[in-house]
Amino acid sequence: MNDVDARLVNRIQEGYLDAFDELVEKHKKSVFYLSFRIVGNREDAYDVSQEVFLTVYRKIDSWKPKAPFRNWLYRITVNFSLKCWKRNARRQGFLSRKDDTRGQYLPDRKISEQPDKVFESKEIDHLIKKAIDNLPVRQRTAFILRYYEGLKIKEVASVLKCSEGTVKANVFHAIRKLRDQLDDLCDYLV
Amino acid sequence: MKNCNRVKKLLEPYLFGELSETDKMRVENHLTECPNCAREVVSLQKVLKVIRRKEDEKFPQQMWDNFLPDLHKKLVTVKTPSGKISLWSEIFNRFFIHPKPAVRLATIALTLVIGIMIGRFYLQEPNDKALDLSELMEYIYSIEPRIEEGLDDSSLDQSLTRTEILFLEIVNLNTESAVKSFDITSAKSEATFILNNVNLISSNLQNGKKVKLLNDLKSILLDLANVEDNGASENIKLLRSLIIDEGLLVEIKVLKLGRQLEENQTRSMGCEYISL
Repeated sequence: MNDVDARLVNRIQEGYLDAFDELVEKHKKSVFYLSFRIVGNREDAYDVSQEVFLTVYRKIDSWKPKAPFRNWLYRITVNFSLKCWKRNARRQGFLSRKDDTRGQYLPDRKISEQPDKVFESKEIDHLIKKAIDNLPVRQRTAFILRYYEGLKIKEVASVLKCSEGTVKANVFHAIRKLRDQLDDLCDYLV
Repeated sequence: MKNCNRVKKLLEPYLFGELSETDKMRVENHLTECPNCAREVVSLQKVLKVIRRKEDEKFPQQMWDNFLPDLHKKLVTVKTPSGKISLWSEIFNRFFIHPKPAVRLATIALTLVIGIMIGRFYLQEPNDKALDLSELMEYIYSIEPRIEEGLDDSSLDQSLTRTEILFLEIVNLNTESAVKSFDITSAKSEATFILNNVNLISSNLQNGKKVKLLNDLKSILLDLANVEDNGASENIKLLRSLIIDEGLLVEIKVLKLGRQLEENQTRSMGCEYISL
């Protein structure tokens, strides 16, 4: 368990607002990026992050020291982000899409047909982001926590409140789908 | 093929470098033997490598600088002296200052409805509420004036019960010492009280049997109320034998039972009150 987090939370529970500020400064980027990777746009990710810290402040008494603070924070972030993502998806009419999206959201043109400048760093990043965004939301969330946040299987299971087997399966399927979507890019780059 | 399925279950932690040495050896041994699985692993490792190339998107420093001040603006807190956020402030923050006007309106409307319901509960007639002990005492003491009005049907039952208790006390005085220690003053005042009630009730009664019994009771109660302190013991003994000889306790019981039966019958007929 992170002693610094536990100490800060204790101080917030005693009513010290400066400790809360310190906690926000420490975690704001990881919360924002986690949310950004799930919801896919900056404005929503910013709002979600703010809502996450407001909730942390309001519910600080309900955090139990037996679980790492980061897991609790990530769980709140994931919940708010998924809520936001679902709201957006409903608005855009994407919610009814099938889980198997392979090929459906591939880049418009084959990479081999595109001019060289396409492979500039920004374009590569864009293709990767698009491939990740196209993953089914459960697989995407598990993959983001595992790959970008570096959480262990057990920790991801605790954040997502599911079994370790489910986490393993979701992450593995996510990697395979990414491989299928980014096949050309992989061949080109590696 | 069997081995492939077993190894596939280990591939996820293998790709993240989280397998134990034994499992890692098992996977790698299989990969040397199975070209399909080896191809699969290579392609998956490749994609993870490519994804790692992607840099985190850069956001303007101003966004990070504004994060905390923006949060402070939203952080409307009402704190208890201990520094903890109270339940009321939590409710207030959550609903009364909710960003959506519909939620704010709904909260105000709900609060008004609850307020009106509570107000109605406390302003209703005392008879409609559940009685606590003090209210019960008040109710008992309030019976007397209602008897005077001749409105309270339960007063006959009450008088009969009180008479029965008083007579039982007297009947139980079966030793000399018990008679001597008997509190004659209290008994006299109780008899006077019951007598007053019975006088009021008997004037409204039509039923001959009831009137006769009440007259019998009244004569004993009258004697008891007028017992003089000198020679009280002898008078009490006399009254005791009268109560026993006349079978008054049994008469009271019979009358009360009759009234209960009468009441049940009347209730089953859908009537709320019983005529005496």
